[in-house]
Order: sequence, then structure tokens, then C-alpha cells
Amino acid sequence: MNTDQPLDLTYDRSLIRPRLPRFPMVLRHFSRSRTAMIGLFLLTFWLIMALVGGLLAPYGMNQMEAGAVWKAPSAQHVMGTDQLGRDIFSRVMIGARQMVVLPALSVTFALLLGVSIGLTAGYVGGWLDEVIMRVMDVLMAFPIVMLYLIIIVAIGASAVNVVLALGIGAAPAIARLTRGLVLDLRNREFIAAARMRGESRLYILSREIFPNITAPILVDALVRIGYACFSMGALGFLGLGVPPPSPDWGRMVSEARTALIIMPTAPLFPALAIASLVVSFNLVADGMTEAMKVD
Amino acid sequence: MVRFLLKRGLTLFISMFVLSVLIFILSAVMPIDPALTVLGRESTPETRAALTEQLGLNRPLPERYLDWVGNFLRGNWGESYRLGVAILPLVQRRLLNSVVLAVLALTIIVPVSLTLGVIAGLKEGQPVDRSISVGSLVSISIPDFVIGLILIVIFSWWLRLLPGDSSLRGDDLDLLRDWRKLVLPAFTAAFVLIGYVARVTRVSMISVMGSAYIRTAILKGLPYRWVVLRHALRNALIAPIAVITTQVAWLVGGLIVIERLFNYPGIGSLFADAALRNDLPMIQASAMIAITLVVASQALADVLYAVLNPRIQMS
Amino acid sequence: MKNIFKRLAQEVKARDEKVLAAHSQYAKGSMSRRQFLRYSAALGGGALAFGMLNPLDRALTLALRAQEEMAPVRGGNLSVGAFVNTSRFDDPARLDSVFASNVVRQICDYMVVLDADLVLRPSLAESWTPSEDGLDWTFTLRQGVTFNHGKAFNADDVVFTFERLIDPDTGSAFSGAASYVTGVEKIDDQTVRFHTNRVAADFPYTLFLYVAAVLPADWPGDFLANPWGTGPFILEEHVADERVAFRRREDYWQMGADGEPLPYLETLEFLTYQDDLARLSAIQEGTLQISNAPAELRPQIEAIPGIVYTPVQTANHDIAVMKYNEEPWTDDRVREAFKLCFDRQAYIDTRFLGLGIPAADHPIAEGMYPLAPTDQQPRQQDYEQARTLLTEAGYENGFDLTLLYIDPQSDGGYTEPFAVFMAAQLEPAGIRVTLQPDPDYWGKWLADWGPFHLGASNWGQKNTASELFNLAYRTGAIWNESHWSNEEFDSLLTALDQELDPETRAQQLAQMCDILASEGPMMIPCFRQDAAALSSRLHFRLHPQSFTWYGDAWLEV
Repeated sequence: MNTDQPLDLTYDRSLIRPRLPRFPMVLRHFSRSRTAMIGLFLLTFWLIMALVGGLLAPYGMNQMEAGAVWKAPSAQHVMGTDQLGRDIFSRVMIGARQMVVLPALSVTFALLLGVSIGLTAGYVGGWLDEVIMRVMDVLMAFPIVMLYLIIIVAIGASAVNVVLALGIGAAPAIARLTRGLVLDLRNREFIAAARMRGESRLYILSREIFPNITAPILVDALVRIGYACFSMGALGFLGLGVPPPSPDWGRMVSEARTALIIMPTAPLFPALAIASLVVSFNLVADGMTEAMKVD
Repeated sequence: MVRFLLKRGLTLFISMFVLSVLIFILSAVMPIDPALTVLGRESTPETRAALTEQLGLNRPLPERYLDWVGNFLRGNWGESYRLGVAILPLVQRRLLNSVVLAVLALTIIVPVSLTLGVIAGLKEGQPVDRSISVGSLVSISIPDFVIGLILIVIFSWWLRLLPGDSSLRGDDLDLLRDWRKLVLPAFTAAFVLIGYVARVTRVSMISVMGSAYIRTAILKGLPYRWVVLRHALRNALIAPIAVITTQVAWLVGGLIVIERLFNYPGIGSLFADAALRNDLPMIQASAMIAITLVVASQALADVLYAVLNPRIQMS
Repeated sequence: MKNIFKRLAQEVKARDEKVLAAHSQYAKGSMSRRQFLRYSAALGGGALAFGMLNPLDRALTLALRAQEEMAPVRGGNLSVGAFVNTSRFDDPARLDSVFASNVVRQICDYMVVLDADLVLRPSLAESWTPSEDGLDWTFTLRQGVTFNHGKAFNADDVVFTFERLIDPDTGSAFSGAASYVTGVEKIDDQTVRFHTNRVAADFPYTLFLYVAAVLPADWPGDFLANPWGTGPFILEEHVADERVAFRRREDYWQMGADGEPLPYLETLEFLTYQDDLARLSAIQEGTLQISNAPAELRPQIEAIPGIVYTPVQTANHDIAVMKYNEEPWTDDRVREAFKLCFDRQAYIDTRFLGLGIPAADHPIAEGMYPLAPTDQQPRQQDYEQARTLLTEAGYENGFDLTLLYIDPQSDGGYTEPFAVFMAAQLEPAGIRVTLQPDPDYWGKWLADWGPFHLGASNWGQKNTASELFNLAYRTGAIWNESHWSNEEFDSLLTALDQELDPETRAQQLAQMCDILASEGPMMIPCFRQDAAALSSRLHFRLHPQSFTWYGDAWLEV
């Protein structure tokens, strides 16, 4: 993530603010990468589904057909039916919204938490930094599902609480990244210059440092949204995700796991949906990183 | 070096303390009546109150915390509310199972992911690299429970090669006898990490190969293979090894989903059951185990880092 | 004791009717022929049921019965896949589930036994008689029985066991269910007398409550360390959450068909499976010879060779509970509307793949309880009527509520589909439901916690209707989820408990069921069939109450 490293040394760039990656340039490189474009295509697809998936669904998410349990894909039910005779295709389509929105919200929450912790630790430094970062390190390595379990059991399973739990789970890594970027900038001349001008700490943090770390943090956030989808799936799998009947893809895979033996397509479609959504976030983030590096 | 390790040790200790307080507070504010868990709903309010008193649960929090930490350190972990059996031997048994599974997963992850990452890094931009990169990206995008399901349906239901049920029937783990039960869960756990570690390795390899001293070495006419093996590898492996060590705690304590799926008696599912069934002492004990694991693996990472790369930390 | 004969006659009738019910399912195609035949053979179906079979099925039934009557083979090791050993076993008096009691059941005996055919039979007690005034019950005990730690069984052990059970400090469910028992007295070594403060016609049944396993008088506590009992098996190993293992006892008092002491099996083990997929794998791999099997696993299990999916009709039921004393349920019309929303047959067909019978919103299943009413009339789904009633009650736009149900992790995901199905069924009537799973359902619900006005849980079959009513429907009863309180119901229940004449009792029971069905605070959609995946080599009768006793189970070689 060395996007602010000077590439040409014709003038001393350390006296001025480092240049932000130029957007058109990044875009051009991004659009040249085939994998990145595939990712963008998939991501756009799911974003559209999140908006209009509910309208495309031929059935309601909790609409049941009596006795039509685990029916194989057919003309009426292109992905078959689930254990309560509900249309799997409709549930996947309707489920796209929460699968995109909730992880995005949780990462937003994680960004708020993580960036403020990282900025503080990185800028203040010293023992406080050392201890905060050690705690963050431990939390980062702490088995994440265990953390979710503790949080969800303490506050209960609901859409809001899933967002909170996922956010708390993702914050330490963001804090770590932010701090690293801040440390990198802290001793630069332009910060020292601002300090000499007598600017307040808050000003320096918010106006000088923050704008220079947003690009890598946002790219990282894309990856984190992918992970959050993953974790939401795992929570749904454990029955701790967003409560039914909302079509949680992870829960759908989980509920279909015994049907796997008689109808392998039952868990396949929601599983593919999760995988393609996460892969799209990862491909796009990857493409962005590469593109910014070139710039 | 010694000073660095001492300083690291001290901060580790402090973070452990902070986290143990966090865990304790979290578990203490959970909406749970321990007396109810122990005595059941048929018990009278009087007997429940008596038990709460006897367990010392109405004392102030700091006192309970000190008591708990003291007992924990002395190996006096008490009794599970849910199961009515001593926690320590149960946790030991489950932890051992989990460690064996984690080690097995690591023996798959380390060689495979490092090899893939190094090859991709050396052949940057070539078809080999592209297929490894995309492959690893896809592999990190598939949830572990999906991998597990796919492996189960293929290997135990279609091919009938390996058991999809990894329960140990209460026996102690005996690798010679039980290895077949460990294959599928170990591969499931490994699959998730292989892509991740391979990607880190690849990036690290690329940046090392692009560094001035490697370029100089190659320009000096040293054999390419020799430069890679002798100089580049050692530096390129620092980052992936650091990443692997941060995943050790997850491999040991975090495989809740995989343990559930295969009915494997590890520490993760023990913890999940404790959390879901209001078993306070078990929740606290398992969480402390996890923290200890994390801190230990990070201490290991620090030492490895210092050994592999003394030049950075001596300053 | 004339009553006993009368009751027996009724039991035979009930059994025939069960076979009839099963046959109607078989005729509808929701039950396979082999299953039906096996089921009716297992029930020992009466002449009536047998007569209505076609000749081919008759021959098959006879063959299956002959198989049931094959001479048992001794030896063999049985592995049971269960959800059992996730509880505490330190005190049998405080067991908290039927599944947990199945562990103790292999080691200990009860005074009496309610067999799989729902007839109460002697066990450690050989016979019993009430006093003239009906307040004392004298039990004659079996002689020549020894505990597995060597002590001979006598009246002291019974006195010890039941004095503990009725002591409120023990915290046993017994003291609540049989609160009228005031004491137990040793008359001589083979005789004990129970004293009660009111006539309780069903008292002998309460001795089969699963907490009432008989322990020796010198039992020092901690059942895992001192697993002492008179039962057919000895506890060999207990690994929490994983395995409970038993070994056969050489000197058990009950004799097998070959004149030698039971059990036939050499060893027995319960293995814990929380995940259905792992359980299926274990069945397929031959690790398990028997495992309970929820309805949704039926197609998967029937696809495994050598395994028979074996259902048994029960009175077990799902139940939607309305908080009786809270809005909007205080209005009779709202409760009625609620009950009219649910399509019972659709639920049975979807959730239990056809294995169940519709219920009429009261818990007393026909044929599954002594004297149960026979003219059950389940409500038909009628949204129009429901909406009319809601409008009359002032809810023309419907209303929103939160449905609290048992968290899938706590009950293996059993309740959740019911809750989801219910939400879908209520929606067209304008009742909008938010689902809220909770790991502490009983704690929250019973403690009157939070803004939840609808609950979903499930109840198992009890020994008698009175037992269930006194646990869950009497005003102020400990498990009264709905806070239901009805004077007429309570007085009928009191009268039922004191009445000895079966005719009158049947009338009282029918009246109570009518009250519950018409104005009760619960919606009970159906009585499900429970099922197990059984190895075709295993000879074992399923009990409708999920009790499993492997004393007379055996495996073909």
C-alpha cells in the first residue's frame, strides 16, 4: 500500500502533501485488468439485485407451497424449493439486499471505530499506542466466530446486533492499518510544517493526515465487506444471524445441508451467491490496489 | 534484542490483563441466572438464592474478578454449570483434539501455500501467476462451511472414501486409528487459509525480488536459482510466516463451524455450547484459553520475526 | 380394580384406532407400505386393523410379526445417536429432559412402567391398591432385586428416593407434579405406603415421571460417580457432550424370552450428534444402529440401505402460546381469529412430510392418553372469518407482534420452522410477525420478560392428561406459558384428579378439552409422529414419549 511513495525525485516532495492517486489514471489501469472487470461486473450485478432483486422474485420470500419440500429445479422453481416449500430463487434474489447492505453497514461502523482508534494511537504514540495496538493485535487474532458468539449471546440476535458484532470484529484490523499509515506520515515534513504553523492536533489529524490515508483504507474496506459477508454467512450457519424468515444466504446453506444428499443443488445456489459476492469484492479491491500501485 | 523481547513481553502481559477484564465484564453482564442453569426451573427461588450466595455471585465485580483470576491461575477452574463436571479435564481433552487438528491443517497449509505463493511471485504476470492468483482469490471467497459441505458430499457420500462423521466416540485421539476422521476437517480448515497465505507470500516475494540487493545480486551474475534460494526466500517468507502465526489461534479455537459440521470434539464447539447454554464458567475458561493461545502465538511470531530479520528490530 | 380392566379394554381400542389412523395415511400415500406394516406390527395392532388389510399386506404383517417374535439373539453392541448427554446427570431427581432421563433409565428402574403400548405395568412395585378413602396408596415391592453395587432392594430405598423427591429443597419436578403427596412410609421390607392430602386417581402414573428413578438408601449423591441402580445396564464411561457407555449387568431381575436375565445386548452406547448431517453420515457409515430422526431427514434416511425409517404416533405437539393476560389476546375474538389462520394439514404435509394428525387446539391426542376425547374437530383455515373477527375486535388493519421462540442452537432447530411457518400463515390475516429466537426462551417467557406477546415452543407427551394440565394449564402452574387462568377449567381439573369412575372422568376430560379448544390461549396445529432411523437388524419398539429402554432390545447377527 505504498501509494504515497514518491516515484520521481525531480523535486523534494516531502515538503508538500503527497499526491493522491489520480483517479482517471487509476481507472484506466483498472479497466485494463480483465479479472478486475469481471469483479466489477459481478459486484454491479449484486448491487442491482440488492436494489431490485425483490421485484424480480417470482414468489414471496416466505411464500410456501404445502408439501412441496426439496423439489428439484423446474420451470416453476428454477432453483428448486427449500424445506418449507419456498422458492429458493426468490429467496436468493430477495436476500441480496441484506447480504450487501448489512456487511456494508458493519464495515462503516468498523471504519468509524477502527480509524479513530488507529488515528489516536498512531498520532499520540508512546505507551498508549503500544498497549492499544497490542490489544488490537490480540483481538485481531482472537477467533472471530468466538467473538461474535460472545457478543450475540450478550446482546441477542437481530439485524442491528449482527451489524454491531461484525463491526466490532473488523475494527481492530482497520485500526492497525490506519495506525501504520499515520506513523508513515507523522514524521513527514508537511506535518511538521503544519505543526510549526501552530495548527491544533485535531486539525492536523483531520485535515492533513486523514485525507492522505483514505484511499488505501477504502480499498481495504472493500475486502472487509467481503469478509463481513463471509462472517454473516457463518453466523447464519450457526443460527445466530438475522432471524428468519429473512432470506439469509448462510442460513439457507445451513438449512439445506442435509438435503445435499438427495438434492445437491439445494445448498449450491445460495453458496454460489455468497461466493460470487465475496469474490466480486475481492477482485475489485485487488484491481484497485494494482491500479493505484502503477499510478 | 533482550530488551525488545522484554518490552514485548510486558505489553503482552498488559493486553492479556485488559482482555481478561473485558471477557469477565462481558460474561458478567450476559443476561444469565447461573443458579437457574445449575438447579433447573423446578427449583424454588430460595434454593436458587442460596446457591447464588454459595457461588459468591452477588459479591462486587472486582472481588469476583480477582477471585476468578486467582483460581484460574491456580488451575482451579471449577465445574461446568451445564454439565456438572470439572472444567479443566474437559477443556484439556478438547484442546488437545483441536491442537492436533490445527497442526494437521498447518502441515497442509504451510508447504502448499508457500510454494504456490513463491512460484506466483517469481513468475509475476505470467499465466502461472495469474492462475494461482485468481485461484487463491476464489478460494478465499468460499466460506468454510461450503467447502466442508462439498468435501462431505464428494468424499463421504459419493466416493465413500472418507468418513463425514469425525466424532471420536469419547476415546482419546489416536492418530494411527483416527487419521481418516481428521482428513476432511483438516482440509476444510486448510483450504480457507491456503489462498490467503499464498497471496501474502506472492506479494512479499515480488517486493523482495524487486529490492535493490536482489537486483544487485542478479546483476553481479550470481545464479538465479542460488539468489532465490539463498537470499530472497528468507526475507520473502517473513510476512507469510507472520500471517500464519496470527491464524494459529483461529485454527485451534475458532473452527466452531467445522467442528459442528463434522461433529469433531474440539474446543470451539465446547465454547459455542457454553455460550449458547448459559454456562458462565465454561465461557470464561474457553475465552481465556483463546486469549492465551493468541498471546502465545504472537509471542512466537515476535521471536520468529526477530530471528528471521534481526536487522529491523535491533534499532 | 375393575377400573384397570375397563382401562385395558380402552387401551386396546385406542391401539386399533392408532392403526386405523396410520392406515388412512398409508392409503393417502404419506406413509410407505412397509412403514405402515412395521408400525402396525410394532403396535401389535388388533383384529380390527388386521381385518381391513388386503391379503398381501396381511401376509407381510404376519411375516413382520413373526420377525418380531423371532427368538432374540444374545450379545451385540448397540450404538445410539442421540442428543442426550449435553445435560447434567449428577442427580436423577433433577433431570431436565426426557433425553437426559434415557441415560438414567438404562441404569435404574422405576416403580412402574408405562410401556410403548401406553399401558401402565408393574416394575419394582409388583402391585398397588388405594385405601378406602383414596388418600393412601399401598405398594407391594418386588423381592429378589439387587442394586448394581450389591445392596438388596427393599422398602428403605423407596422411602429414601421419594422423600428426596417430595422435598422442595431437592428441586425436583416431582414435588410440583405430585404436590399432594405428603409422605412415604415403610410398612415392612416389601411394603410402602404413600400418603396424600387429596384423592389422586392417577397417582400410580406419577411414579413413572422421569425424575422418579429409584435410588438405593445408601446413595451418597453424584450420580456420575455413584451410578447405583437396579437397572439392566451398568455405567461404564461418561464423556461429557460425547459419549455415555454402558455394559450389561449379569444379574438383572427381569428375564428375557429365553429364560435368562435381560438384557440381550452386551454393550450399549449413546453418542452425541448435534448436527444432522454428521448424524446422517454416521448412520450411513454404520456407526449408529439407531438414531432419532426428524421428519425432514426421512427421504435421506430412506435412501440408505439397511436402515428403516420408523415413525411412531405421539401426542407431542408444537404450540403457539398467546399471553392470555395481555393485549391483544384478552379478546376472545382475536384468539379465535389467530387459530383460524393456521392450515394444519399444510403444516403436517410440509413440516412432517405427512406424518402427523391435525389437532383441535388442545393437547390431549386421541388414543395417546387414557380416556382422551374421540371427537376431535380441528379448525379449518378460514381467513375471511379471521379478518371479520379481527375487524370486530377493532383490528381492521391487523397488528404487529414479536414471536419469541426457542433458539435453534438450544433445541437442534426444532421450533424454528414452526415459527417461520406460523409467520407465513398469519400474514394474510394482517397479523405481522417479527421472529425472535432466544436461547433462554423459558427464562424470558415465564419470567414475563419484555414486549413479547406470542411464543412458540413444543410439548412432549406426558403420562396422563392430568399431569400435563397440572404442569402447564392450571392457574399459576410453574410451566403455564400463557398465564391461562380459567376457574371452570381449574375446578374440573380438581374434580378429575379426585374422580375414580372412568365414565365421569372421560366426561370431565372432554369438557376441559372443549374449554381449551374453544377459548384457550394456545394454537396446537397437530400431533406429530416421531421417528427413528433403525438398522433393519435391530429389534426395538419406539415409545411415543421418546423414552428409550434397551433392556429388551436385540440385534440380529
